[in-house]
Amino acid sequence: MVVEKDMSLLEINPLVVTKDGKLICLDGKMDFDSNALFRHPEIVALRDLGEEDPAEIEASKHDLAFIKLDGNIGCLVNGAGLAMATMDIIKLFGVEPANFLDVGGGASKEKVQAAFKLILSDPAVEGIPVNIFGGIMRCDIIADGVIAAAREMDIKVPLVVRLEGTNVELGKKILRESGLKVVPADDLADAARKITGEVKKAAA
Amino acid sequence: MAILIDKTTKVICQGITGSQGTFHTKQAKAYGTQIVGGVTPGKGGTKHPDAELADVPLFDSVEEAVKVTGATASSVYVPPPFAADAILEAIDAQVPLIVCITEGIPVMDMVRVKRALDGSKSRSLGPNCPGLLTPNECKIGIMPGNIFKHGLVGIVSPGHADL
Repeated sequence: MVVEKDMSLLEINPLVVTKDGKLICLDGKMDFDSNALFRHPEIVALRDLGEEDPAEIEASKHDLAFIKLDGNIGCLVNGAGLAMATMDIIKLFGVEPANFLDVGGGASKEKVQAAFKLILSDPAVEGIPVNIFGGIMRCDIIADGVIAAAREMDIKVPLVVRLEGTNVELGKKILRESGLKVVPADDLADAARKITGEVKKAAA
Repeated sequence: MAILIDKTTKVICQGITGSQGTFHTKQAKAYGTQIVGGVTPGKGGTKHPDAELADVPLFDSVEEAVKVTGATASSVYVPPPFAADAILEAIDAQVPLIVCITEGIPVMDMVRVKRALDGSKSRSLGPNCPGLLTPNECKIGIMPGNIFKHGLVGIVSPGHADL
């Protein structure tokens, strides 16, 4: 069943033996490999959205990896490893991440926009560092998405953008020429330092 | 000192006609990688629609591509539902180095790939990896080439952007 249904967990707990020697599964837990759901429409049909966080449901609609947390700094990053490193360095500078978000490789401008909307739907967010190291992800597409989101949503919180990688010069140019109030950053530490500074400035 | 790839490595691309395969193969070619062929079932013998890749021969199978080009490495840019199959095909064709960039391949599929690798002639890198690069010689993957310099230290990283 585990192989057939592409499960990542199949747990029977507790399993009891009755007085007359019968085995009964009293409770169970099943987890499914989300990468394999495309070939299990029968499992997808069982999904109960009422059991999930609304922001995380919205994220999955756009194929964004998103986990809501309790802090005030909304991170938009490409790559799970870099997202975690960004969260670590933000904490080092004394503030707390409001979310984990991996926009993934090959994201479109619309996906980036959706990511912004998701982060901003959290009223606790006071600042957004965008940290992109583009391999598959292109910096010009990120820039287009940032601008589209900012124009559509009137972003009131400080925005720090660190771009590096594929098409970086084009991405930086797009941001510069947009007229948007975006604070550029050179590296991870610089981005964390600047967003902390901007958030403290705004609070003062 | 290159370990796995260098300027003599002959590379084919599985999934070369897809959007990711096209973009990153062009970048690899521009970096100096020897791209000797591409594999897209059904498109063998045709010309790649992108002008920069028009001179790269296309094949229907990895076996045919290896036979004709003598390729010793394959980059896999095939979508998740079919990527494991693409790796298995390369293992079958005894490609010495298979680099799979694709993210999101079902775990059970990769278990089968791991089993097929045991005792085979192939070494697999990935899946869900940015690839590998030897500065100024060869690039198989999605890393922007301009950030790397020739030196004494090799870097191994678990993620795309952590580099």
